[in-house]
Amino acid sequence: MTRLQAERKTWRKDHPFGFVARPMKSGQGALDLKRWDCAIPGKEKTLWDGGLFKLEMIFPDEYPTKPPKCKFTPPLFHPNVYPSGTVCLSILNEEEGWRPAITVKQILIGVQMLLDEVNPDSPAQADAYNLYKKDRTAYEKKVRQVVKENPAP
Amino acid sequence: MDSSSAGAAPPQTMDEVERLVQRLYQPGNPRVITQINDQLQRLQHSSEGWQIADALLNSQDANVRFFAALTFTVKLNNDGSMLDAETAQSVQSRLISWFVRLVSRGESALVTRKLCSTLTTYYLRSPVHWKRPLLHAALSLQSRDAASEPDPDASVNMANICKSLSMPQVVSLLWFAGTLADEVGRMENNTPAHARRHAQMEVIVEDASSLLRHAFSPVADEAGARLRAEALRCYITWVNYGQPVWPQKPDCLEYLRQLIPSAVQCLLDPELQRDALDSFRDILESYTTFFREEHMEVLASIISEHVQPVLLQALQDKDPEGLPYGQMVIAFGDANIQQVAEQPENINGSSTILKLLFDILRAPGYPGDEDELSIFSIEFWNTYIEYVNDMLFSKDADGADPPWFGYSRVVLSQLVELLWAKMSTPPADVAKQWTDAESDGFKEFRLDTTDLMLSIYVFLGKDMLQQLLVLTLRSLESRQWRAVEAGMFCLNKLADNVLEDQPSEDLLAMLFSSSLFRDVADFSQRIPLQARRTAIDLLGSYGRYIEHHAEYLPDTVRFLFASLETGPLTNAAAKSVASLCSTCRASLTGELDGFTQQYQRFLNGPTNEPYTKEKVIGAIAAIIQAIQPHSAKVQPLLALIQYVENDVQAAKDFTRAGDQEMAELMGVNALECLGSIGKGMQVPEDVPISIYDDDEPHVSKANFWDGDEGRMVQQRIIGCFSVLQVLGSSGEAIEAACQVLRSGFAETEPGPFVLPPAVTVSFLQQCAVNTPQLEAVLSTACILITQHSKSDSKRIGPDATAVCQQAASFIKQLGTPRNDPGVAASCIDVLCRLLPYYTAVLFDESSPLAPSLQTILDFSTQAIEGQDPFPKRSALDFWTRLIKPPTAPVQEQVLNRMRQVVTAYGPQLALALMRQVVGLAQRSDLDYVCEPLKALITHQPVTKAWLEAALLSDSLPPVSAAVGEREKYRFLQQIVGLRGDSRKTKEVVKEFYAACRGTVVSYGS
Repeated sequence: MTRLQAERKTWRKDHPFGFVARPMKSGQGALDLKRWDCAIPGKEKTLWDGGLFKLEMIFPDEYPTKPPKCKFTPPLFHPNVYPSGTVCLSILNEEEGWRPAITVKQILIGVQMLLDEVNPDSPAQADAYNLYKKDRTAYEKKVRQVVKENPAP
Repeated sequence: MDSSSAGAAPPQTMDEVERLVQRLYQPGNPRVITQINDQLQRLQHSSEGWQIADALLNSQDANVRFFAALTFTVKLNNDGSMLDAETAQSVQSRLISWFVRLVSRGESALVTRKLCSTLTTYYLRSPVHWKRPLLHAALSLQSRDAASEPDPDASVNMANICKSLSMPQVVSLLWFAGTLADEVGRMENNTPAHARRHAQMEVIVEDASSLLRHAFSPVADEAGARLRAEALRCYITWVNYGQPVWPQKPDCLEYLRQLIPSAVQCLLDPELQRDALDSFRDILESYTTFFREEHMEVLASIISEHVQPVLLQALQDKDPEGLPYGQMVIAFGDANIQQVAEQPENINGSSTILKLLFDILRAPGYPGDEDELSIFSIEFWNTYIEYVNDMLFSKDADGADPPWFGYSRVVLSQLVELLWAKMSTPPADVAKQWTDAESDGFKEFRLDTTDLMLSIYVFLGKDMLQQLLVLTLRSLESRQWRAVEAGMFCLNKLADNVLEDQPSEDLLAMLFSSSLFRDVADFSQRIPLQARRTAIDLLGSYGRYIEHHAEYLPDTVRFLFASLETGPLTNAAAKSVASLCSTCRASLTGELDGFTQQYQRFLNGPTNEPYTKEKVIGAIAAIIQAIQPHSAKVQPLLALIQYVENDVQAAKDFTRAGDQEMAELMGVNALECLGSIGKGMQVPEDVPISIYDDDEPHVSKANFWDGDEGRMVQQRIIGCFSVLQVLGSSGEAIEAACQVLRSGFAETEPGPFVLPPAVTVSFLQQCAVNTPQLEAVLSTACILITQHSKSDSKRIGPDATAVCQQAASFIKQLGTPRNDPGVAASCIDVLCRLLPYYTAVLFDESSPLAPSLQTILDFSTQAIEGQDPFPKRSALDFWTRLIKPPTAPVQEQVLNRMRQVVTAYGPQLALALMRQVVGLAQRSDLDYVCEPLKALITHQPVTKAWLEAALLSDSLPPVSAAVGEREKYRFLQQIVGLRGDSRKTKEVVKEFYAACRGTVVSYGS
C-alpha cells in the first residue's frame, strides 16, 4: 500500500469532526490520490467557529519527502494565506517544519489552528495582514463575514 | 510514637525493613510516605539490595513480597548486566526457587505476576544467556524446586511436563510466557544484546506453544475454562509479538498458527466469547495475513453458527451487547474482502457476511445515538467498493467484466437503499433529546456515508442516480418528507459527478419536473425545515443543470424567494438566489417584476438583514443585466438604485439624529448593495458579445450609457457616494465604495457602472493619509491604471498623473515606510503600475511629478531596507521593473532619464540588496530580493563592480565568521556567472544567506 493509500485509509477510520478530506476524481472516474478535496471547520469558540472552508491538497511526486501544497478555494481572507489561496505554514514548508511523518490529519488540524492563531511574522496577503495590524476590530468583523459566507452545514 | 520521626530513621534490621514496607502500603501522611519511599529506594539501590529482596520474599505479607519482587527487578535493571556469571546464576536460581515455592503456596496473582516480570527482567538483563526460561521454570515446578537449567540435548518435553503440573502451576507459567512476549516485544531490536534476546524467542516459542496447546486442550470443568481464558490472553500476546519481528520467519509463526484451531474454540465458550471476539477482531484488523485460508474458513463457520444468532437477536432488541459480535463480522468481512466480493456462492465466507452487514444497516435506531454498528460498518463498505473499483480500473477498457461484477451491482444497489434509509433525520421530538455528541455522530454518519456513495457512484453510475431519484420521488408521493430529505441530501453530494456525465444528467428531469419544488415553495404545507433547507442546497448544487433547463427555473427560484422570509432558511436561500439568478439571468427576465415585488416584501419583513439584502439585490441586478435593449434596463435598475438611495438617506438622517452606529450600518449596507448591483450588472464572462443578434445597431448600443439617459443613471450611482460625507471615518464604507468603483473596471464595453476614471481619481483625492482603508482606495487606483494599460485600452495619462501625485503626496507625508507600512506598500504599488505605459508620468522632466522623483526613489529604497514585508516586496518589484527594459515603446528622453536613474541609484541599490542577502532579510523575502538582483546582472554591465563594492562595504551588517572575503568573492563569481538564471540564483542566494547567518556549518566547501 502506498503512503497516500494508507493516509486515505487512516483518515477514513479516524478523522476529526467536521473535517472533510477525499481524493478527487480523475478523468476516467477513478480516484486521483495526488489531489484531495478538503474542508476545514472553524475551531469552536473562535472567530472562525461556524464556518467551513474548502481547501485543495496537492501532493507532489516526491511526497512524503516533500510536503503537499494546501490551497484554499476560493482564496481565504487571512494574513497567512497568499492571494492565490496557498497556505503559508511552517509545517508545509520543506525548508522549515515539514517532516515525512506528518499526516493529513495533522496538516488539516494545523491549518485549522492557523486560522485563529495568526502568524504575523510571515504574512502572505496584504489585505488581511494590514487590517489585522491596523484595525483588529475591523479585521474581526471581516472574519465574521467570511464565516457567514462559508457556513458549516 | 511520632510517625514522622520514625519515617526518617534508617532501618537497622530486616524486621524494621519489613515494617517500613508495610507502612508504605498503608494510608498515612503523604509526606511521611514519601520519606519512607525514599528510604526504601535507597535500600533497593544499595549493594545489600539483593539480600534484602531475597529475605523479604519470605514475608507473610503479600505487599512485602510484592515489594521484594520489585526490588529484584530494580536491582536487575540497574546492576544486572554487570553481574559476574556465578552471581547471575545464583540470582537466577533464587528467583526460580521463589517462583516454585510461592506458586506452590498459592501466591496471589499480583505477586506471582510481579515475579514473572522479575524473571523476564532477568532474561533481558542477565549477562548469562537464559536459553529456555519457560522449560526451565516448568521443570522446576515439576521437581518442586529450582532445577538445573535443561541441557540443550536433553529429551525433556514441555508437553509432558505440563501434563504433570497443577492448574495454578500452568496458569503461572502462562503468566510468565505472556510477560516474556510482552516485555521482549517492547524492547527495541537495536543492540547486539537485544538482538540476541529476540533471536532466542525463536526457540522459546516452541515451549510457549506446547504450553498453550496444553492449556487450550478441552477440559470441561471450571478449571479448564480458567486455563483457556489465561491461554487466550497469553496467545494473543505472542501473536502480537510475532507480527513485527517474524515477517520473514514462517517457521516461528507456524508454532502460533498451529494453535489457531484450538484458540478459536474460545469463541464458542459463552464465558470467553466476548474476550475472544475482541482478540480475534484485533488480529483480523491489524494482522490479516496471520490467518491462512483454512483459518478464515474456520472463522467464517464460527461466525455463521455462533456469532450470527447472537448478533441478530441483539440487533432486533437494540441491545448494545451485540456490538462486539457485529464488529467481528465487520472485521472479518474487511479481512476476507476478496472472497466476499468474488465468491458470492461461498455461503459462510461471503453471502452470510454480506447478509449480516445488511442486517446491521436494516436494524432500527439512529447512527450516533443507539446504533453504533452502522457507523463501524461504513469502513467495511469502503473496503468493498474500493476493491470493486480497483478491479474496474485495472482491467482493460475493452476487456470483459469479471463474472462477479453483476453480483456486486446487486449488492451495491441494495446497499444504497439501506444507506438512504439510515440517513433519514429523526423526528423533532427524538432530535430534541440528543446531546451534542449524538447529533454530531449522526451528522458524521451522513457525511461518511455520502463519501462512500461517491465511490459507489463510480461503479454504478446512472443506475444509482436513477435508484435515488425513484426512492426520493416515491417518498414524495407518500409525503414522507424525511425520506425525501435523505434522498435530496444524497443527490446533493453526488452533484459534481452527475453533472459531468450526460446520461446521468438526462435523468434529472424526473426530479425537476416533479412537484417537489412547488410543494416546498408552498409554505402552507407542513414540511420539516430540514427538508426545505436541503432543497435549497440541492438547487445550489444543480445550478449548472437548471441553467440549461430554463423550464424548471421559475418553480425553483420562486421557492427560493419564498424561503427568504423564513428565518433559518434566509441565508442559504439568498446565496442560492444569487448564484441561480446570476447563472440563469437570461431565462429569468420574465420573472423580474415578480421577484422585485418579492424583494420588496422581504425588505418589509423581519428576515431582512444586510447580508441577505446585498445578495438578493445583486441577484435581481443580474437579471436586469440580461434584459435587452439597454434602454429597457434603465427603469428596473433605477428601482434598485432607489432602494440604495433610501438607505443613503436613512444613514444621513441617523447622523443628524446623532445615531452614528445606525448611520454606519445603513450607509455601509447601502454601498455594499450598490457594489452588489454593480457586480450583477457585469456582463458575464462566458457570454459572447454579439453585435449581430441584437435588435439595435452596434453603434447605438455602445453609446447608450454615454447618452443622456445613461449618464443620468451614472449620476444617480455617483450620487450614492454622498453617504461618505457622513461616514468618512468608516473603513468599511470606504471599502464598500471601492467595490462599487471596481465593479465597472472589468467591463470591456460601456455600462452603468463603467464610470469615468475621474470618479476614482477624485475619490482618491478626497482621502487623507490617515483615511481608514486607504490601501483599498490606492489598490482601486492601481486596478484603474492596469485596466488602461492593455495594448488596446484607452490611455488615461492625466488621470494616472493625478493618482501618482496623490501617492507622492502620501509618500512625503509618511516620510518613511515604517510610519504606515500598509499605505507605503500601496503607494509603491501605484508606482509599479505606471510602467511601462505611463513611464513619462515619473520620468519626463516636464511632468508635475519631476520635483518629487527623488523623494519617491529614496522612499522605495528605504522600503527595501525596512523590516516590513509588504513595502519591501513592492519596492523590490518597483526596482525590478525599472531596471528591466520597458515592455512597451517609451520616448527616448524618458528612457534616457530612466537609465540615468538606474545608474545613479545602482551602487546604493546593490548595497541595499546585499545587506538583505547577508542577513537582514527574512528568509521568506529572499525570492523577492532575487528579482532586482537578477535584473541588474542581466541588464547592467557594471553590476559586478557595484556588488563587489557592496559586499566589501563597511555598511554591511556583521556576518558569521565562516564568511570572509574569499567566500564573498566566491558568491560574487557564482551569482554573476549565473546571468540571471532564476532557480539557480535563488539557490545560491539562499545558501549564502544561510552561511552569513551562521545557520550552516560552512559555505561552499
